[in-house]
Amino acid sequence: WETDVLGCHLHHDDCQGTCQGSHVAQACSSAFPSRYSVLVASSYQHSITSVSQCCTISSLKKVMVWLRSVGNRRWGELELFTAAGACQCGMCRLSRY
Amino acid sequence: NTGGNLHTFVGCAVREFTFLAKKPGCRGLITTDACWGRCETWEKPILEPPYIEAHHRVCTYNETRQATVKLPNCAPGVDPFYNYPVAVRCDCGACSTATTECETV
Repeated sequence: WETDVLGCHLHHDDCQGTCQGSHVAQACSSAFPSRYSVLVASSYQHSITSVSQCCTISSLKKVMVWLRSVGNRRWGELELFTAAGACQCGMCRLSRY
Repeated sequence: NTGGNLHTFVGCAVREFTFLAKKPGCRGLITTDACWGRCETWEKPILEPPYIEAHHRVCTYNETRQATVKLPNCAPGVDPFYNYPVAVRCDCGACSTATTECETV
Protein backbone atom coordinates (compact mmCIF):
# COMPACT_ATOMS: atom_id res chain seq x y z
CA TRP A 1 0.00 0.00 0.00
CA GLU A 2 0.97 3.60 -0.41
CA THR A 3 2.27 5.15 2.77
CA ASP A 4 0.92 8.61 1.98
CA VAL A 5 -2.55 7.59 3.19
CA LEU A 6 -1.45 7.60 6.84
CA GLY A 7 -3.80 9.66 8.98
CA CYS A 8 -7.46 10.49 8.57
CA HIS A 9 -7.97 12.96 5.74
CA LEU A 10 -10.72 14.51 3.69
CA HIS A 11 -10.78 13.48 0.04
CA HIS A 12 -12.62 15.47 -2.61
CA ASP A 13 -12.54 12.87 -5.34
CA ASP A 14 -16.31 13.21 -5.72
CA CYS A 15 -18.90 15.86 -4.92
CA GLN A 16 -19.84 14.19 -1.64
CA GLY A 17 -16.43 14.15 -0.04
CA THR A 18 -15.04 11.12 1.73
CA CYS A 19 -13.18 10.73 5.00
CA GLN A 20 -10.42 8.37 4.15
CA GLY A 21 -7.18 7.12 5.55
CA SER A 22 -5.54 4.68 7.84
CA HIS A 23 -4.39 5.36 11.32
CA VAL A 24 -1.54 7.47 12.47
CA ALA A 25 1.17 5.72 14.46
CA GLN A 26 -0.32 6.69 17.82
CA ALA A 27 -3.69 5.19 16.97
CA CYS A 28 -2.79 1.92 15.36
CA SER A 29 -4.93 -1.17 15.33
CA SER A 30 -4.09 -4.29 17.29
CA ALA A 31 -5.60 -7.56 18.49
CA PHE A 32 -4.39 -9.78 21.29
CA PRO A 33 -5.61 -12.46 23.76
CA SER A 34 -8.41 -11.15 25.98
CA ARG A 35 -8.03 -10.47 29.68
CA TYR A 36 -9.49 -12.99 32.08
CA SER A 37 -12.27 -10.57 33.04
CA VAL A 38 -13.29 -10.30 29.38
CA LEU A 39 -13.28 -14.07 29.02
CA VAL A 40 -15.55 -14.49 32.03
CA ALA A 41 -17.90 -11.66 31.03
CA SER A 42 -18.31 -13.09 27.54
CA SER A 43 -18.69 -16.70 28.69
CA TYR A 44 -15.33 -17.44 27.02
CA GLN A 45 -16.68 -16.39 23.61
CA HIS A 46 -14.40 -13.36 23.21
CA SER A 47 -10.95 -14.89 23.36
CA ILE A 48 -9.56 -12.01 21.30
CA THR A 49 -9.64 -8.29 22.04
CA SER A 50 -9.31 -5.77 19.22
CA VAL A 51 -8.37 -2.18 20.03
CA SER A 52 -8.61 0.22 17.13
CA GLN A 53 -9.71 3.54 15.76
CA CYS A 54 -11.26 4.27 12.37
CA CYS A 55 -11.54 7.30 10.15
CA THR A 56 -14.98 8.86 10.70
CA ILE A 57 -16.94 11.91 9.62
CA SER A 58 -16.96 14.43 12.44
CA SER A 59 -19.05 17.14 10.77
CA LEU A 60 -21.10 17.61 7.65
CA LYS A 61 -21.66 20.72 5.58
CA LYS A 62 -24.13 21.54 2.85
CA VAL A 63 -23.24 21.97 -0.78
CA MET A 64 -25.52 23.15 -3.57
CA VAL A 65 -25.60 21.12 -6.76
CA TRP A 66 -27.23 22.42 -9.93
CA LEU A 67 -29.32 19.94 -11.87
CA ARG A 68 -31.04 20.34 -15.25
CA SER A 69 -34.41 18.64 -15.68
CA VAL A 70 -34.67 16.47 -18.78
CA GLY A 71 -38.08 17.69 -20.04
CA ASN A 72 -38.09 21.46 -19.96
CA ARG A 73 -34.36 22.17 -19.93
CA ARG A 74 -34.72 24.29 -16.82
CA TRP A 75 -32.00 24.37 -14.22
CA GLY A 76 -33.02 23.35 -10.71
CA GLU A 77 -31.17 23.40 -7.47
CA LEU A 78 -30.63 20.38 -5.24
CA GLU A 79 -29.25 20.56 -1.75
CA LEU A 80 -26.91 17.77 -0.67
CA PHE A 81 -25.05 16.97 2.47
CA THR A 82 -21.36 16.43 2.20
CA ALA A 83 -18.54 15.26 4.43
CA ALA A 84 -16.50 18.27 3.58
CA GLY A 85 -16.74 19.48 7.18
CA ALA A 86 -14.06 17.45 8.89
CA CYS A 87 -12.79 13.96 9.62
CA GLN A 88 -11.38 12.45 12.76
CA CYS A 89 -10.07 9.17 14.11
CA GLY A 90 -12.96 7.73 16.10
CA MET A 91 -14.94 4.64 16.96
CA CYS A 92 -15.12 1.86 14.40
CA ARG A 93 -18.48 0.54 13.29
CA LEU A 94 -18.69 -3.02 14.47
CA SER A 95 -19.73 -6.16 12.70
CA ARG A 96 -22.45 -8.09 14.50
CA TYR A 97 -23.22 -11.61 13.29
CA ASN B 1 6.68 -8.98 8.33
CA THR B 2 6.28 -5.19 8.51
CA GLY B 3 9.22 -4.42 6.24
CA GLY B 4 11.17 -3.04 9.17
CA ASN B 5 9.61 0.43 9.47
CA LEU B 6 6.70 0.53 11.89
CA HIS B 7 6.18 4.28 11.39
CA THR B 8 5.21 3.92 7.75
CA PHE B 9 3.86 0.39 7.67
CA VAL B 10 0.32 0.07 6.41
CA GLY B 11 -1.24 -3.35 6.61
CA CYS B 12 -1.76 -6.05 9.22
CA ALA B 13 0.94 -8.39 10.45
CA VAL B 14 1.74 -10.96 13.10
CA ARG B 15 3.73 -9.37 15.88
CA GLU B 16 5.18 -10.68 19.13
CA PHE B 17 3.13 -9.65 22.14
CA THR B 18 3.65 -10.14 25.87
CA PHE B 19 0.71 -10.02 28.24
CA LEU B 20 -0.04 -10.78 31.86
CA ALA B 21 -2.25 -13.84 32.05
CA LYS B 22 -4.35 -13.73 35.19
CA LYS B 23 -6.94 -15.97 36.74
CA PRO B 24 -8.00 -16.21 40.39
CA GLY B 25 -5.02 -17.61 42.29
CA CYS B 26 -2.63 -17.50 39.33
CA ARG B 27 -0.75 -15.09 37.16
CA GLY B 28 2.17 -15.16 34.74
CA LEU B 29 3.68 -13.41 31.74
CA ILE B 30 3.07 -15.01 28.36
CA THR B 31 4.79 -14.08 25.11
CA THR B 32 2.86 -15.05 22.01
CA ASP B 33 2.03 -13.98 18.45
CA ALA B 34 -0.72 -11.38 18.11
CA CYS B 35 -1.74 -8.86 15.41
CA TRP B 36 -0.72 -5.26 14.83
CA GLY B 37 -1.03 -2.83 11.95
CA ARG B 38 -2.90 -0.08 10.21
CA CYS B 39 -5.88 -0.77 7.99
CA GLU B 40 -7.68 1.32 5.39
CA THR B 41 -10.82 2.91 6.82
CA TRP B 42 -13.19 5.47 5.40
CA GLU B 43 -16.67 6.96 5.67
CA LYS B 44 -18.69 8.83 3.08
CA PRO B 45 -22.16 10.34 2.99
CA ILE B 46 -24.84 8.67 0.87
CA LEU B 47 -28.35 9.83 0.01
CA GLU B 48 -30.22 6.79 1.36
CA PRO B 49 -30.37 5.53 4.98
CA PRO B 50 -28.24 5.10 6.99
CA TYR B 51 -26.82 8.13 5.12
CA ILE B 52 -23.23 7.25 5.93
CA GLU B 53 -21.41 4.36 4.29
CA ALA B 54 -18.55 3.04 6.36
CA HIS B 55 -15.64 0.85 5.43
CA HIS B 56 -14.09 0.11 8.78
CA ARG B 57 -11.48 -2.62 8.84
CA VAL B 58 -9.29 -3.43 11.81
CA CYS B 59 -6.16 -5.52 12.16
CA THR B 60 -7.27 -8.79 13.72
CA TYR B 61 -6.72 -12.53 13.77
CA ASN B 62 -7.55 -14.34 10.53
CA GLU B 63 -6.23 -17.74 11.54
CA THR B 64 -5.47 -18.92 15.06
CA ARG B 65 -4.31 -21.93 16.96
CA GLN B 66 -4.88 -22.59 20.65
CA ALA B 67 -2.02 -22.86 23.09
CA THR B 68 -1.91 -23.90 26.74
CA VAL B 69 0.67 -22.95 29.34
CA LYS B 70 1.09 -23.85 32.96
CA LEU B 71 1.16 -20.71 35.07
CA PRO B 72 3.72 -20.63 37.87
CA ASN B 73 3.09 -20.24 41.59
CA CYS B 74 -0.62 -20.96 41.53
CA ALA B 75 -2.52 -21.21 44.79
CA PRO B 76 -3.30 -24.71 45.99
CA GLY B 77 -6.36 -26.18 44.37
CA VAL B 78 -6.26 -23.80 41.39
CA ASP B 79 -6.06 -25.21 37.88
CA PRO B 80 -2.68 -23.81 36.69
CA PHE B 81 -3.35 -24.25 32.98
CA TYR B 82 -4.20 -21.20 30.87
CA ASN B 83 -5.53 -21.34 27.30
CA TYR B 84 -5.01 -18.52 24.82
CA PRO B 85 -5.14 -17.97 21.06
CA VAL B 86 -1.97 -17.64 18.99
CA ALA B 87 -2.12 -15.65 15.77
CA VAL B 88 -1.13 -17.73 12.75
CA ARG B 89 -2.28 -15.14 10.22
CA CYS B 90 -3.55 -11.57 10.63
CA ASP B 91 -5.64 -9.54 8.20
CA CYS B 92 -7.55 -6.30 7.97
CA GLY B 93 -11.20 -7.18 8.47
CA ALA B 94 -14.41 -6.27 10.24
CA CYS B 95 -14.34 -6.68 14.00
CA SER B 96 -16.75 -9.53 14.73
CA THR B 97 -18.54 -9.12 18.03
CA ALA B 98 -19.29 -12.84 17.95
CA THR B 99 -15.70 -13.81 18.64
CA THR B 100 -13.95 -10.60 19.55
CA GLU B 101 -14.11 -7.92 22.22
CA CYS B 102 -14.15 -4.87 19.95
CA GLU B 103 -12.79 -1.81 21.73
CA THR B 104 -11.79 1.65 20.69
CA VAL B 105 -8.92 3.70 22.04
